[in-house]
Amino acid sequence: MAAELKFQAIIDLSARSCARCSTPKTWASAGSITRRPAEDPVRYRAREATAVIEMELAAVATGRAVRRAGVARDRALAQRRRVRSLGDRHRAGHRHEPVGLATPIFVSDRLLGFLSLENHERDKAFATPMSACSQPSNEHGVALDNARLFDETQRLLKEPSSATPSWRSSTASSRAWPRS
Amino acid sequence: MAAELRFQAIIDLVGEKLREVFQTGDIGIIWLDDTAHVAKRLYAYEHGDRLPVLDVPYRPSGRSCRSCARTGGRHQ
Repeated sequence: MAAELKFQAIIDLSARSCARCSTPKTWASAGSITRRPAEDPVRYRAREATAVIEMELAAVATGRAVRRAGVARDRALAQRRRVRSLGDRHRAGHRHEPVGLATPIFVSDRLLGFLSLENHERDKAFATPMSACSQPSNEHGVALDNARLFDETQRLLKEPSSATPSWRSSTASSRAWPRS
Repeated sequence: MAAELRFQAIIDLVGEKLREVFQTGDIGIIWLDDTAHVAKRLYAYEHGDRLPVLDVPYRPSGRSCRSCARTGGRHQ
């Protein structure tokens, strides 16, 4: 459930519609957003497959709804008028169907975030295959997590009160040199 | 503040590299903060234009808030 909420937040963050012509985007997940528990791989695989299929179905359903809505003649005409002055991708008469792909970034079985890739050209597939997206995003995830951990330690070191471990203050008094 | 800037610089660097690799002008990096239940859009490009950094809280027991996504976390 939490994973779906995160995916929803990604879609909200990445904007539901094109910034230029406000055509709604269709979103899908490039991979499972849950990780395999070591003890029960079979059960995990089933759940993973279900999660991915559900997401894909949701994306397809959204796409269909968008297309159905897009059929409305007055709306389409208004949109054509609006996009006439825009660039090549948004030229009049060009059916613009932006598609978003959220690739989960995992580091040691922890979901850190998402890499969102968008394609605004209907007839052109993603330049990179979906399966190839997850590997670089996970590798970059390691780098980003390392950067975050480094920053966190630096920040803790700069805060003397919170950074000083509790053992240091207690042992300092107990280990004081005895007076002769 | 300085630490955050450094982290943001690294995110920018990674984002630029990914933009090169995928050869796209539409890409984003979204970071999840599980403790605060916040999704952060740290890096985003659409149609080759940079989009601002944005935080969206997601509720642990419900859907994420669309009004937060629009207003950047402020309810009107």
